[in-house]
Amino acid sequence: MSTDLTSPSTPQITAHAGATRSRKLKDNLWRAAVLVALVLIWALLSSMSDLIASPTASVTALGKRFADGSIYRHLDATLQAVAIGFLIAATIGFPLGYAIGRSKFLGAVFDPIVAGAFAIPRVVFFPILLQIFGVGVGAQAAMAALAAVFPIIVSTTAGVRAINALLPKLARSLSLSPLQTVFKIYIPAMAPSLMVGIRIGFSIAFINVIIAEFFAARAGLGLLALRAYGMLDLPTMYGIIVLLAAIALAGNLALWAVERRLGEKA
Amino acid sequence: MSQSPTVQSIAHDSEVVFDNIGMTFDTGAGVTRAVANVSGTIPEGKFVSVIGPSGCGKSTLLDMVGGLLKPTQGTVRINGETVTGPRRDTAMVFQEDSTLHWRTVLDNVAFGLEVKGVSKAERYEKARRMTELVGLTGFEDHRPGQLSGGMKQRVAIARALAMEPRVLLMDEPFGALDQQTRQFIGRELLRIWEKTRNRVLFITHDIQEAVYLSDEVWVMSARPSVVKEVVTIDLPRPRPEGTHALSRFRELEDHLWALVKVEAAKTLGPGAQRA
Repeated sequence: MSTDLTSPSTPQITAHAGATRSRKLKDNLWRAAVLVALVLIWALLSSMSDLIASPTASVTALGKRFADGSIYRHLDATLQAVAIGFLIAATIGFPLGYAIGRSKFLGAVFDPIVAGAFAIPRVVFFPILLQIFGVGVGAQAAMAALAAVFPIIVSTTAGVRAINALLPKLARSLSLSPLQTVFKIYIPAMAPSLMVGIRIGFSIAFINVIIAEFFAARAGLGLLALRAYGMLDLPTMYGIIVLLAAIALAGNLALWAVERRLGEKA
Repeated sequence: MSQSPTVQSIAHDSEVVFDNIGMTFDTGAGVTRAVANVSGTIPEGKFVSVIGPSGCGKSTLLDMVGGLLKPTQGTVRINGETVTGPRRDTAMVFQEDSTLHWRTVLDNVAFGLEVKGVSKAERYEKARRMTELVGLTGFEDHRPGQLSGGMKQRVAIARALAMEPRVLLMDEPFGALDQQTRQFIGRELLRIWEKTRNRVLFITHDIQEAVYLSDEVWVMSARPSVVKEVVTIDLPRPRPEGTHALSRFRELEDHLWALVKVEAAKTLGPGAQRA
């Protein structure tokens, strides 16, 4: 294929730009349509049963909580626990996953442990965390960290191992320092799998904070939802569920967009 | 054959010298003597190819010059200095794609200079020249994912040349390319090399390619390998397209093929020689 030598396989970007834009618009319209349909189904179901709060009642109840400021304490507690838990998981998970991926010895030791531990429902450890940290944000954050650290380790290890084997050799032949090797070769080469680790880590941290809040908490959206349920305040309960879904969706979508941007570069 | 099989003298220190080197691997499953007693010299401005049967330690030889492997016996010297690790005056091109897929072509070509601490203006100036030299003008801002295999290898070659190496080490750089691309890029390599005239150590198992490109072809024996014969390629340079058809080209090719066949037979066992 001698023609291949001189002509790149790039699509004619200018010619396709318009088509791409209208396709994106169409995709977004359909996405919006799916969301609207879900809300309509919810509205329909709520009209048929007293046990389901209507969308408007739920959003109103949620709005009231924001208006009187009573929700902020809970929102802060949940977001703090997710953020702290995720940061701890990332601080431990990325370097450890990297080390396991690069070292044969660490791989041999940790591969089965990580794979096995992945299957343990991490939430079973929550009572122990309560013993250590007491009821409060500390315990939820620890729960989030414990849960999120495994997917981060696994995706980082996989990312290191998937690197083109020649790149470390190239790094050596160009006399890169260890720091240069990490920052100029490994991290950019692994960027897509690092983003997967961040996205999945965030989701898992978030899920586990809410679950932990269902068990025992002083504040938090999970606690608030459960309390509303206990008091049969269904609009508030549904409102908080909507809020939680919105937070998860927004966070995940933002990370997913970054991930796709990185993927396109590859 | 008129040229006599001689291993060149190792007296000149301004050269790349293999001084009786050997390499023994201890794999745990047993000790393998890959390279035994290789001596030789890559003269200033010469293109030397190494051919030999698979697994004869050609790449090992190259890695030792590149400082990636330490010989277990003997020394490799460049300009009189014993090679103890990767050096700034050698640059490598590998068989498979070694471009950095997240960088543009220009940033790939500039990479070696960047990690060496060359200023931005200077490294981009050089990178642009090298990109032009390898025929990738217009593709500076493309990413490797948008290039063909042959173009990626040119990026790797440009990156190596940008380092202005005294010795360019090429480990079957066209081995992963299809035949047509391979011939084309081989001609390109010669065109570039006529301008730079670095010393080149070129590993290949393509005999035609070795004859076409080289001033000298070293034929390695089966393991534990030695340089069995140094064949001087006395074809005039520059070597235009018709070079492959010259009767002298054929003679050299046949001679090399005969040498390699004997060695390949040793590795493959009886019966292989009939092939």
